[in-house]
Amino acid sequence: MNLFGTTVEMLRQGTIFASKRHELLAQNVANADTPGFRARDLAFAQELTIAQRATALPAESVGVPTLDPRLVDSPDASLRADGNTVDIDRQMARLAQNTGYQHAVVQLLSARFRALRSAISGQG
Amino acid sequence: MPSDSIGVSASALAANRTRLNVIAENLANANTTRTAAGGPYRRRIATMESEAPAFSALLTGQDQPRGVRVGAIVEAGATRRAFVPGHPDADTEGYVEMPDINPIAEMTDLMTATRAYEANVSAIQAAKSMATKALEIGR
Repeated sequence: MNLFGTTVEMLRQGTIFASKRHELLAQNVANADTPGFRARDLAFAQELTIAQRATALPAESVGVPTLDPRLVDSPDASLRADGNTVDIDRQMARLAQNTGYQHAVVQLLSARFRALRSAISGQG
Repeated sequence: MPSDSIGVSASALAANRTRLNVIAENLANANTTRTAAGGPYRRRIATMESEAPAFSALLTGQDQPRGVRVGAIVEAGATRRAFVPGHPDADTEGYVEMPDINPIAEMTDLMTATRAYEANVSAIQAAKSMATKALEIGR
């Protein structure tokens, strides 16, 4: 019997994913004017959704799916002559989205720990 | 680690600040006819390049955050002949070799570099916000 269940493990992976993705997005923004630089991103959230849809079961009963964040080239439509594929507007939007995602995951994680604590202390 | 991404963004801040310095130099020297190297000032361009990954990262095949830096500051500008008779540097026909600097081009470059700088500041703020939020876990 796992004390924390699979929820905490999944949320933990979510926070790791968010920080790794932020690294890549920061790289893309930093190299927005570097000739020949190819923008990259992490694919993970989409695959998690697909995995859940395929099983159509609550995550609790199927166990933690092996989440393998994968590096993908994110070729935003670019007509730049220098071969750079960074679309600064999309990158900034993704950055904001990723921050919101991380905040949400941390909020859920905190809620989970709060629930656990109230169960341990036996008082709501 | 968010600190790695802050380092990447900081490298971009430094690179863009150098770019801004070079643009300011071009604007300031739009009418300079004498330089230490002799002849008129020539327009300079800062070229950007990705920082090479660390050697250890190449050995292990790991991907490391790549920052950016100014690769070189190259003299790329031409000169133009302006008719200014009586100028101390004028030739016998009254023409002076002047730097060929287009203020409009310089100003657009200036805005591009400024916006790039701001985008990287936003990226650092996002990293800080994520780190602060993570400290709230279990509170």
